Amino acid sequence: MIDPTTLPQLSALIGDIELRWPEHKSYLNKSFAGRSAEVLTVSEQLSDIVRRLARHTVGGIENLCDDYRFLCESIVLPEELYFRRHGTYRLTSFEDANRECYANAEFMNRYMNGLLVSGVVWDNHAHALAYFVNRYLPRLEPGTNHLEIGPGHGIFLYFAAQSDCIDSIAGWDVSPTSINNTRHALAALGVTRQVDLQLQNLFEVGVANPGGKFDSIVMSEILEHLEDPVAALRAATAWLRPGGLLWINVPANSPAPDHIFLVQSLEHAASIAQKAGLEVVDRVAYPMSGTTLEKAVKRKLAVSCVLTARKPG
Amino acid sequence: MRDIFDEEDLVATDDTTASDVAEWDSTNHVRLMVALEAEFGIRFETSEITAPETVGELIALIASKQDLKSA
Repeated sequence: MIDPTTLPQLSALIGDIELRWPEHKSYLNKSFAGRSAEVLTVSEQLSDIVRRLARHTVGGIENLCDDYRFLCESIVLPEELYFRRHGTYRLTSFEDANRECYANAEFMNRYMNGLLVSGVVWDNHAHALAYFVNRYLPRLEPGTNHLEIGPGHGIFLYFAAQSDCIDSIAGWDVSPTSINNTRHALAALGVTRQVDLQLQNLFEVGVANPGGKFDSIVMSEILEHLEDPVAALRAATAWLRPGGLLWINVPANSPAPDHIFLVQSLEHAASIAQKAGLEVVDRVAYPMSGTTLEKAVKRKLAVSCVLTARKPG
Repeated sequence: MRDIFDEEDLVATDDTTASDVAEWDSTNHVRLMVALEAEFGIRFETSEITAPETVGELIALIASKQDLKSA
């Protein structure tokens, strides 16, 4: 299936997962079966990152694979059941998500570990990252000031740090734990250029400091965690210079315990960006593993909605 | 099952498993179970969702839930 001579890290990671979870093999086969060479190349890079980060993780790669299984079976599956029964996400307030998830450090650690591996395995996650690497970063102009809001694992910041067009890189988060995780990940991955990681609340700084300074802002898998994504995009837009780009990756119909805002489709995601005053210049939806976009839309299955939007002016 | 898995020619027997049906993955399995809940007026426990490994076991589970309902 995956040629270990051309994609050694991906092949090894798949082997690691299969060792810990043999029953997952057919899903893995489906997930990689239709993946293009362009996307597989990014999956190979991310597999290398995962395996390098595993060396700095308690329990190593086995632990990461176990947490990926925990994510699929114990985190997502019960939420999927609720979503199918009721047509909504189970929680709708940040306070509830904070109580159930964010305040539980042990749970969040397993959750985030699982999501790191999902970036390779889940087709929609893999395609969204590949779009960022292969299509978004190359469109940035030389001298770009780049910001990521909620950088999490630091994977998108890592790839941004490889871009010659980016002059300065910043990352903001409201969680000190998350900022520390991002800092450690970038150090473990050998990123030597300066990345300005700050504890910043988007809403507070946006109000206090109107006027854009960034040419590029990334919000990947952020909006579904917020009660008012339009307000968040407006606040982020205030930090863009006129003509600057905002790259948004938001899942639709993707239940999780900390997803509180239900995006229903690519069109819905685009309308949220437009309500925030942005001009959507590119949009694409990537379905979950093992299905087509047509079937995913018909069945309301998870799709990653990827938008490139521009601040008018 | 034909509707859930988009397979008009699907013929399921007691021995049919998820690996016999191309689109029978974890998400479509949940869709199937929720559709069965609506069809038969029953409610599965979360632990029962992934328990059946064959169609025969699934039918037995539905029957047991219906027995509980009528008891």
